[in-house]
Amino acid sequence: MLEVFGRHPFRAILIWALLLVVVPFLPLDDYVLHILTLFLIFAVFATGWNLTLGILGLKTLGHHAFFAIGAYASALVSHYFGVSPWLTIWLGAIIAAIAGIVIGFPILRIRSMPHVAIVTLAFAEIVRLVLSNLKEITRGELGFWGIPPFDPITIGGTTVQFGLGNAFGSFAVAAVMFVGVHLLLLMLLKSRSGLTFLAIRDGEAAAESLGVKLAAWKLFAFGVSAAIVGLSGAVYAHYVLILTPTSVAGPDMLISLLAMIIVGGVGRFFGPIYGALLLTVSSELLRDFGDYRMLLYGALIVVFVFIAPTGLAGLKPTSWRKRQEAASKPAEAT
Amino acid sequence: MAADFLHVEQLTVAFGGIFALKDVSLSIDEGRTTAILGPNGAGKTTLFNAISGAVRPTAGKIRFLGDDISTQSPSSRCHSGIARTFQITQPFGSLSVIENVMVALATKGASMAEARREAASYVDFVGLTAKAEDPARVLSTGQRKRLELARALATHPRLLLLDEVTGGVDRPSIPELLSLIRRLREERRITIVVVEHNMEVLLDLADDAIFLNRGEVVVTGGMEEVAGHEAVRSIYLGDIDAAA
Amino acid sequence: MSNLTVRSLLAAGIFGAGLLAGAATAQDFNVTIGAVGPLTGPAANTGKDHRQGLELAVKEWNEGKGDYVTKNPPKVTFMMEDTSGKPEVAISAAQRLITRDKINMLIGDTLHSHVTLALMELAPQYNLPILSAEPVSSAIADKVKADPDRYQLYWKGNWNSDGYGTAVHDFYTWAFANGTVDPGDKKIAFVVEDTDYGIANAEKIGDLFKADGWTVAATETVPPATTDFYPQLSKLRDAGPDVIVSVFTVPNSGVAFVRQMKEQALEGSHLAIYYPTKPEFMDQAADIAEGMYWAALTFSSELNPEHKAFSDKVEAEYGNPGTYSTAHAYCTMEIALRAIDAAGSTDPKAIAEKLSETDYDCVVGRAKFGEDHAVQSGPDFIPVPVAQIQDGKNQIIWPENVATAKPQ
Repeated sequence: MLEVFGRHPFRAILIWALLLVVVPFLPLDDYVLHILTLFLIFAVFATGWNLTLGILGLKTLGHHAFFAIGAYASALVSHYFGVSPWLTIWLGAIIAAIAGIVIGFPILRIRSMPHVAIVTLAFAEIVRLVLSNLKEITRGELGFWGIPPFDPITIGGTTVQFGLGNAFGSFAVAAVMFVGVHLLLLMLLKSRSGLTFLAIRDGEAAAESLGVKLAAWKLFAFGVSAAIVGLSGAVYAHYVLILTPTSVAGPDMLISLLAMIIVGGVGRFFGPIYGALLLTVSSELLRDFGDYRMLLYGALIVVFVFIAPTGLAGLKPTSWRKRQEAASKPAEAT
Repeated sequence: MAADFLHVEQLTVAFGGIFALKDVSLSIDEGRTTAILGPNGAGKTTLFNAISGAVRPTAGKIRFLGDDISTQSPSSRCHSGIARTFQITQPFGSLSVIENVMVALATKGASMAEARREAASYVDFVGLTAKAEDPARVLSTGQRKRLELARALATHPRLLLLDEVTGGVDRPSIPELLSLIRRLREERRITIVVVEHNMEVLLDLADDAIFLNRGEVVVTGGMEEVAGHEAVRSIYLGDIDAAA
Repeated sequence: MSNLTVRSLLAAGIFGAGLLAGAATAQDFNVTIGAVGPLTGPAANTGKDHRQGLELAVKEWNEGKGDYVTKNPPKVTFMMEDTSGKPEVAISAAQRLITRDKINMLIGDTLHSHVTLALMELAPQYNLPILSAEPVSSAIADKVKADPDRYQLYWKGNWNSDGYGTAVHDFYTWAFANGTVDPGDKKIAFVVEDTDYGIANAEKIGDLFKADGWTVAATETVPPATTDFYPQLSKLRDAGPDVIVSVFTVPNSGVAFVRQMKEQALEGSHLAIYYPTKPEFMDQAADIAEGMYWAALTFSSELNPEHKAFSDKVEAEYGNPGTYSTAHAYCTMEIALRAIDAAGSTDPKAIAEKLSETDYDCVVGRAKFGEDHAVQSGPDFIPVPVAQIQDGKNQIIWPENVATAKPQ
């Protein structure tokens, strides 16, 4: 599991947590905090997706659907029933998890990866279409607005506000989610679950012959993965305060998240974080280049895929990688 | 007791219109080592897959310890005591050697610490302790075969199916591997079914033998007896000469 | 750092900047205006037109060629950022403009309603006047009406999505009355792109027709940039509508739709919304679209000398003719600049106050904001004329007071 987690994964999360605690004390403007908030939300999204895509090794391409489900579920319930977003985000995560398990069932029966990709992609398209056609409830492509931001919290006389424009509060919510999700997921993956997921990825038949109940483990992974993605979607909804089916479940979301995971490192625990950081921040830094921004952005992705084919997370333990490469030939023969 | 160990009854496995196994019946007795012989395409690996659950029989039954296991999943068959290795080894490449073995233990509910402790003993048994923390994908073929053996042992099997145990293994490593297998039988009383091309190895290991050809059982009996059979000789003679 | 301090620092910064500017010289005050719009992605073409319009207005203003309100007009610095058509990216862009470039006013979004719904939240948060350009969605105006105090700094530089609906409905009522079009079984059908724009138009027109005893036979939505309409057209053939309304913002969709409709020889009167405003459509489909009605001919260099003059001005500057989007963006910037000029300062409240008083005849029509902070449409304000393609050329046929030809 070393190549998946690196040498000191808990220490790495601690460092991230410390960095995030320091950020609000730096003289940063709202713009920077907003970019970092987006990075944190997308990092959680990418990490959740990476669980099935990289850790379990199923080519699932429809996780933006769970993002949309979590976002809309939380937004709709808080808007129509007046429930606090502090509660509805969990509901969004649970509903996304149920959707994940439901879509997991047909995928259990599909052995061919291209078919898994198509089925999950089609599922996302169905979710997008349903959201845009339930106009009475979601207002479809007109956009669902009126999403309440998180209720303000008062700590020792200071009231922290949330939602767009309240950069500090929004950053804090995203940072807590980021650290919490990664810590809990790391604990889960450092236990039997992680061992089993990786075994299924590396040799499904072998894992099954050792007594691993494939169906149950895969559904479990789907549920956890969808719940994480759904939670990130819910937090996104109560931050940006506007949802349209295309902006959350459209192909653009699919492509940018996949790019984050691939650039960061598919199947590496910290890969999606690096990918989300690099792509979210660079797409903003490149604004200085005006019209060439998207061109450079595309070039950047290509360059990173070339210099780090296993992702940014794969760059770190060099000695490890060399040994792997030396032995990769017999592995490919199997 | 021995009579109730493993029975394959009129087993047929067809892929599309092609019969890989046709009406195969056989029994394996507990505590013995049985060789499955036959030319390429005779259905040896399919028989393994059917017993371990990797393929569903088209017709017929498989009974293990008195229970009909024909429709059970590979994982529940593993929990009943059937373990296997693969002709083409399937190590969990990104896991270390010891973690590979821990998978089998963790799935039975052992904690990570317990699993690690117990796995170490199996890794030691197959002689891979020096490699225990290396990722499995750096192992040589012989080491991979041993790793698969350790993994299979960790499931606490009563029946162990070994597919091509010396296939692709460099010659000097073979005797060590064979002595391991012999110890399994002697120290752990594990019943072994082995598919193997190397006749020398088989004569050394097996008590009984079953000769398959074109998906059907041709001869069964003691190892020496089956090896002496005309049909078997015509196929394996070349091997023996080559080995000598 | 608490949010409160961030905001107060920001406010102090803006205030301080204002003081400095004021102190330097009373005659010479500077404003920075930012815009956000889709410069990449599917709507990049329109975004480019917006940028040209906005820049042209600023350029003329700074060169002493503007339509000033006072004798001491401000010097303007302008910059535009890309949104890729995504709300969260638009917010990134806007916050960059707010915090880095210290803009005094934001024009945005220049095109998308859903992006505007997110952006307008920044007006109260950052005490920033925001004027959106082309977005039409009524949801924006509804939001303002729901909480006018919160959105007192937000203004909508285009009419509401019901503007088209009312025009299309009133045109057909007129056409039925004078026998130009036969109402038949009173069935109407829609083929629209699956965007807020397409859907809002279909809903509004459908509602107005239903009130007159019509039935909506079909409402087909297609993804933006669709070019295969055979499934929708065969459904329409079965439904047999008397009036067909199509709404696309991508000209290629319009060309494909009109061509396939002709192949399928569908009966019924066809009215197209938006895509015929694009020169690309007329270049490719003028002949096959002969006789088609469309809305709205808000910009025509062929028929309107004022539009011609504007288009030529754009052509001289950028090498491509001006479109409705260029003209609308130009007007939006003029409205913004005149409000700031009139306010005589960068005080957000003062700018909003002057925006609300806007009554300005600009190249696309007379801009005057309604109670809901949206520019009003109609014959007295920004007209929404219905045109017909006659002999390969556009003619305005309704309303009669601006008509250039009779319907054929």
